[in-house]
Amino acid sequence: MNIIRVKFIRSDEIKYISHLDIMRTFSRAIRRSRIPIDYSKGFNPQPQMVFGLPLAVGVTSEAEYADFQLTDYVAPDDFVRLLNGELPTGLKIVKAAYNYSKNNIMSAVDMASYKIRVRVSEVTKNRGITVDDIKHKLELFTKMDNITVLKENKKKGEKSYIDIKPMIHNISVEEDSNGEYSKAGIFIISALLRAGGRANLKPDLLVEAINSNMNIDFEIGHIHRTGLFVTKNGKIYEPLDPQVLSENKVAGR
Amino acid sequence: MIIDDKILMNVEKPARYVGNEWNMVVKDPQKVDIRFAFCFPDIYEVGMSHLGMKILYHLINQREDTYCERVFAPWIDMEQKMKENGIPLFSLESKTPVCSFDIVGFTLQYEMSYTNVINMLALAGIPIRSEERSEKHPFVCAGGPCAYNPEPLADIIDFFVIGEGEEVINEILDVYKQWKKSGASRDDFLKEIAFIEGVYVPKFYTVEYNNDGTIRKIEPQNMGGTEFPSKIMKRIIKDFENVYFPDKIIVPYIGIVHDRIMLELFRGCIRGCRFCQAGFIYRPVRERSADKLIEMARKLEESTGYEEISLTSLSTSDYTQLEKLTDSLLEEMREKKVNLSLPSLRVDSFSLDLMEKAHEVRKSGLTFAPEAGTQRLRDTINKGVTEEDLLKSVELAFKGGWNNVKLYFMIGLPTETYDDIKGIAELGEKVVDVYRKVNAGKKAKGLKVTISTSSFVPKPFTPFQWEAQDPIDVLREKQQYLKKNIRIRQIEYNWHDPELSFLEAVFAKGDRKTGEVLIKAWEKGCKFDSWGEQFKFDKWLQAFEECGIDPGFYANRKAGYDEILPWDHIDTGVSKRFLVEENKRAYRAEVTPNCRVNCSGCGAASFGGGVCFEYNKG
Repeated sequence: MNIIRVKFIRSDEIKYISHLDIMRTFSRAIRRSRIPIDYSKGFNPQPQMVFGLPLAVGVTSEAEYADFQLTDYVAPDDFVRLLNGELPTGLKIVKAAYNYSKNNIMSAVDMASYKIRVRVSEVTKNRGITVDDIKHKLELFTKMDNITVLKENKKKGEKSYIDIKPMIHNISVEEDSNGEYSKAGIFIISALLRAGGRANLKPDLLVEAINSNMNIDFEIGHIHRTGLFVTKNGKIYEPLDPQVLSENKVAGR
Repeated sequence: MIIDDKILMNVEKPARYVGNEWNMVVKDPQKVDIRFAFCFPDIYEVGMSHLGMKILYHLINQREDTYCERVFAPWIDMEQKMKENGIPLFSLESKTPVCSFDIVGFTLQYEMSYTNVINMLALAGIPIRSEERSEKHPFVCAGGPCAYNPEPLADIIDFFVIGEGEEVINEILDVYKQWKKSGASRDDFLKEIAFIEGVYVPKFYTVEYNNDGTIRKIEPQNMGGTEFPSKIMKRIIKDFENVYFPDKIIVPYIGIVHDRIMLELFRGCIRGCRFCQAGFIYRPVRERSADKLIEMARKLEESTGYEEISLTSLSTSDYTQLEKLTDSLLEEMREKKVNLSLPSLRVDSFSLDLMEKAHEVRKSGLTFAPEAGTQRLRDTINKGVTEEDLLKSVELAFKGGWNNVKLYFMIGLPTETYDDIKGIAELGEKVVDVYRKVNAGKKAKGLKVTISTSSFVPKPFTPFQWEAQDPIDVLREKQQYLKKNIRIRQIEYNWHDPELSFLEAVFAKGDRKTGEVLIKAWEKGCKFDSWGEQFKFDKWLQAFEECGIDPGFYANRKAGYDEILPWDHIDTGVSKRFLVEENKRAYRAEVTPNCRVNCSGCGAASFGGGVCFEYNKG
């Protein structure tokens, strides 16, 4: 079977489009490109595509992934060129390679990295809290044994406390290089978090946890996803890494 | 103009407001002579589903000197945010404030969108009344089916386009371009286009009234020796086969109401149902060949990547090359994994077979529209369907495995009695009987018959244009009577709110005086009136009261044949004499044959095309 995996970027122009609508956009783009995509059987044939981790409305990304099942081999460079010719501004394929492993992108991804642009309020600044204070608070935050936060289950309409500590791989904070703290109070939080079907920590919930545990009032300005990752033999790989795409089964699953 | 993230992140479906879709036309606004804002007075998902807008958008953008951009009504949440942040109504393409366009054009698809027209003008910062606009404002124009009676909006819209826009818009833009260069006055432009056939400039026409509120005369003004046309003749495409059609259409990101390629097989309808405005204003019927349609389908599929194609026309079963078209489309599109979505066809063995072939296997929801419950009333409205036809079709459908049938009717039709209403329930029962007979021995399990009634709305340019609508309480009583008479479990009954139909009748038949009520109702917060929860009937009644206008005068009063009607200066090509004759035939319950059986001499042959000449081609 010819399964090609692509890495694509989703920039500002397209950030208001929901995950479902992005999938439909790809489906129509691939039809237009005449790439020999495989279709599902049945009365309502759908292009066989699998996407990595859904991206929330408003979030941009430089590292989205999708798998396409083709009926014939198409050279990766041709695939990229043909599909890019049919994608709207804001969506762009940057890399493609055949996937020989048994895992599709959705089940393979288990880690995601983000840059979260946040702002503290005037009140916080007026309390005399410095950049160092904030960095210190973040350090304390990462050292907590457990970090409970109230999470809403939208399907069930219930809220429950969960411990997100095991889902935070690492986290750091820096001032926004474009602005001075005294002026804007803007920070960039970089975080590597568990993601995917087994455990998933959304970046906005992380910020909520920092706020409620550290007595800060970060307001999220913008979230940007910088990577999706696959863990294999205890090591973290990019989904297009040959290690991930090779036929060998992922160990330890 | 840049719309802030904070706003878009806090409204429902922000993609409604960002544009940038596939096939959107991109031009440099600095490099065009004319900027045209095409406004649809409803939300994105509704407006983007409208075929006429797709055609005109791309047609206007064919011109290098003009940039046509789209504007939709922002939903309540977005409107709120825009007001809070001082953002005026803007176009999707270049996010330009609508007030800085040259021409702002609205399409009028239904009467209950009129308050949205007013609301959009207000959000754009354009004065609502035509007379309050000056040299610095855009011209505001309107077209579409509701423009055939332009009078309720006569004080708001600078000029109307009567008929098919793709025929006339380029002539208007040519004049505009010259006028803009010349630096002449606003009125000079309007005076010039008032002589283009199909253009109506209401300010050049005066209406005088009798003491009883009816119209005494409608006359073109004499402005310094300039005599405007006394009748405004609609414009239509004569050569429908070769008229411009876009081979690219915009593919939205978000799901819209009709999210597919639409193939317009023909324009107009041969049937002449006496209540149906579309059946008269679009005369004569003009078809496209199957070959042309297949070529269009091919090009659109290539340029959009859409996974579905639908056939759109008023009565698709009347298309003379339907079999050839569907056979070829099904074959060609199957390879491309494109579905053919069928409209409600007249149910017979051909259409049932077609549905099987098109894989419409969910054997649910077959729709029938007998419109009236008894043969006498069906003859009165010229719905050429007999009970036998219907039951035969239903039997075929049940034998083919369908078990979900929808029956559409109208209540409050002229000459209707309670027996006719009872007839609706009886017809429903007969349909259930057919199901039992077809499935003899087995229990009639799983059958669902849905009866839906809408309320009759008298419309201009139909044989029923003089008729009165039943008052709201009578309509409600009739609905209750029908409900009482439906006693079978398998039949479900749905009905429309008569209040909305009442207002529809008022503004369908309204004169110039009713325009004040529209503005008043909007001031009281009325907008998105066709959106159920947004409809504020009490505010509408207050608006009528405060304007001193009796809505019943328009909706519930029967007019005489010799009364001057508010739209009498508009000419659709179908003669008033013919409409009078048809009205009389209705009262005699006489059927008029369709255009292909026999020409009834309605007058539309004067356009020199379409069905009127089909048999003269040899």
